[in-house]
Amino acid sequence: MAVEEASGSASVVKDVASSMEVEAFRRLFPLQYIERYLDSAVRPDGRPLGRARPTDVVLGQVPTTDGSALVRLGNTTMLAGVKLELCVPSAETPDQGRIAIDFQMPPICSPHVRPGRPAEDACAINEQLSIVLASSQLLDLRQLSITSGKSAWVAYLDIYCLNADGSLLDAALLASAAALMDLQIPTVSINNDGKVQIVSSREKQDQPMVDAEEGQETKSKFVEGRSLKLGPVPVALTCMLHKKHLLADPTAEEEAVLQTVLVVVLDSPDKLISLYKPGGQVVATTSTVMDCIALTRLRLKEVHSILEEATQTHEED
Amino acid sequence: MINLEMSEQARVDGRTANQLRPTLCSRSLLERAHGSARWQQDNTIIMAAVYGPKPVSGKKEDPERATLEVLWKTKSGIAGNADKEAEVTIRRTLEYIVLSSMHPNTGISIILQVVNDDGAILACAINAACAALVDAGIPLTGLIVAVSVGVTTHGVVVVDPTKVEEKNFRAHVCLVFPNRPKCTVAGLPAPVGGEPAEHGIITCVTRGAMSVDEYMNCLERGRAASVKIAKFTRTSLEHCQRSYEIMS
Amino acid sequence: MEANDTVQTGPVSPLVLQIVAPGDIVLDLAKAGKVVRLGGGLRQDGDSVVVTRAGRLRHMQANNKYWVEGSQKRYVPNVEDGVIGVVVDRRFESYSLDIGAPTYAILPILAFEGATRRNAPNLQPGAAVYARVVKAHRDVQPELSCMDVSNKSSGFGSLKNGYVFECSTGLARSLLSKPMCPVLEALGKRFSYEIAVGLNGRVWVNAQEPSTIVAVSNGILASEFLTPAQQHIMVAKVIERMQ
Repeated sequence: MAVEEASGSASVVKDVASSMEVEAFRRLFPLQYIERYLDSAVRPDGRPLGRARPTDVVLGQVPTTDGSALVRLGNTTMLAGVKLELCVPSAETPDQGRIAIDFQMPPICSPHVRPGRPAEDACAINEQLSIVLASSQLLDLRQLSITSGKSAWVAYLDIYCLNADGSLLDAALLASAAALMDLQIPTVSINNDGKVQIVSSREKQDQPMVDAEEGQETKSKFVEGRSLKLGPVPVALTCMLHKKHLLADPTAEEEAVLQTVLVVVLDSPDKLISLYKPGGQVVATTSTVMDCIALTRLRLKEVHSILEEATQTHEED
Repeated sequence: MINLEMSEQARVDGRTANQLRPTLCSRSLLERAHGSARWQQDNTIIMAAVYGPKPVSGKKEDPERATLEVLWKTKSGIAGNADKEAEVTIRRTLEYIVLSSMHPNTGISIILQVVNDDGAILACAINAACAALVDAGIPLTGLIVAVSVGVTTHGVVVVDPTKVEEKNFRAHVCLVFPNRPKCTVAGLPAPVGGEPAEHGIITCVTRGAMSVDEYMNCLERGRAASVKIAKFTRTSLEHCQRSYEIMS
Repeated sequence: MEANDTVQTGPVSPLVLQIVAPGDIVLDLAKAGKVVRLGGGLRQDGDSVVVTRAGRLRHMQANNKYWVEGSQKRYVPNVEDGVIGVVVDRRFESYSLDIGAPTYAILPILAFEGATRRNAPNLQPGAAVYARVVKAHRDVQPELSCMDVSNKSSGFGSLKNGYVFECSTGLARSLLSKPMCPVLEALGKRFSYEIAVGLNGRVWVNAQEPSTIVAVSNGILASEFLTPAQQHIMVAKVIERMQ
């Protein structure tokens, strides 16, 4: 009976399709709608199957942060910002700072997100982002240290999704990396007692510092502000698996219909930072995995050049 | 690629690189749950309980299929993002085998309780969940097998790491494969993409960075180890079924 | 199918009477003969029959029916099963019964022998009913009836007094097996009681004394994983404790 039903619905679909409007067909039979495009090796928005959407990275958009970036991956928009605060490093890692990552999907990003409890996807992406940034060598936490054992920076990296249209992890990772590239550690002054103070560029000119209580001059050491020296940038590519086809960088519609996701994160053509495939309807064969890795290698080059361009444009401003 | 004799790399508990920890599976332990199972890999113990199919409220109701819900309970009871991520991963893995179209408008809840965490916890949980679903009689398209594989700092691939090993290793991967069914028809189950059906990856979760070659190596070792776990699952299932039939 | 036609059976599956797990492929329909009936625990996937529940594969030669016999706590309604339900709600046209299935079952008010609008039995919520499953489909609530095909009551109907308890479907099936299950026989030698067993894992016991009802119920529940010899010993212990 199951077999009859399946073939019955396929022929019903064909009959109905010829007499129906495109939009109605898209709503009623989303899988068949997409499959018709895929069979001609193209997607509903006209891209070939393996191509990612046009990507835009702009650095330094939020002046109140120490580093920020706005990333647009097709319609998916992410805003990342980093703020630095002073802290005391933990006893186990006295010469390392800390990074705290928070990924949020406010209700503005998608009609499926309601205010209140964070969506499941937001928590999952938050976790994956933390793991990817910890496993990659993008940020060496020792760079965030000021005085070993006494003071260090804690970087609060916040990523807001402003528009969720698929491939959220790709865009969030790109935004985080770009924000870290834009990060400027402020100048600090360390006085003899080891007390650290953030110095704004204006105060640097007023020398020497006067200690109000003792009324004496106190010598203080300046640690110049700098940008971070970052390791290779990890790049993520989300792929959707279909029985016969492989799509790169899906939109939200494609994600909802095709269901099976495979996310590959590379930071160099041969180093796999993460490979995440959470179940789904379709099983991945070794050749599918190799194809996804190949697509991610191409994307790696693309993204690295986009980031370089963005940094140059920002420096020119 | 570093070629090391396995005997040189003896692990803390004396196992070889390809050796799994002693595994234990008990079914039908909980009185109230519709299905339950306890999966133990030496010191990693996970208990799974399944309730369903049962009626669900409003928003979660789907007129075409049963809604799956996974709840992950940690030992300390405090939930974090890592637990939510595990819930999402496990739910999507189980959606591959549960025939949810057979029970529309209902819900199936799977609750996983971490009794003790000594490494390979996600793999252990998926195995426990599959056993509990079978125990509850939920219609399934097949069985799945989960295995955890680690990559040492020297690039050696090792199966079923403990918690200490996971911390010291460069990376570890949790892989889920379909279980090879008994088949009376020649040629089935059909190979997918040129490989036998039980080599296909249903789920893969990696932690830590590794080279692409090391990953392929992990896949190979994972597949070999999954065959052993699959055999164990079948034996455990048959043993349980026989105990139900003792009366007759 | 006419009764005098013999069903062309083709080769019987080699997995019959073996324990099967979900995903096992038991039969190739291309070679199996004209009519193959699939019972619980099996589904058709293209040209082959695949197992969906763990259990032992059984085959009935008479009508070429295959099914998987396993024991679960939850009941999946099958047509022609005798089940015990507990009334939960009364609607205008029907009662809602809890039979341990994913949804409540519907028992029409007129589905009793000789019932008319004027003299239909009036069941209160909490009443136990022994009924037969008439319709069972995954998209609708199962429908029950307290009459058999020829509209006679033949044992179906409401169960007065007594006590209803739950057990697994496997235990229910063994309680209904012929020859009589050892535990029921042993208990019957000492106590006099009435019993109704539903294939949905519900058992109704009634006796003169509440202590008898308790002893019988406990005896039945404790007998699930015991061999016949062990069951006799267990019943002897129960009787001893009663005295």
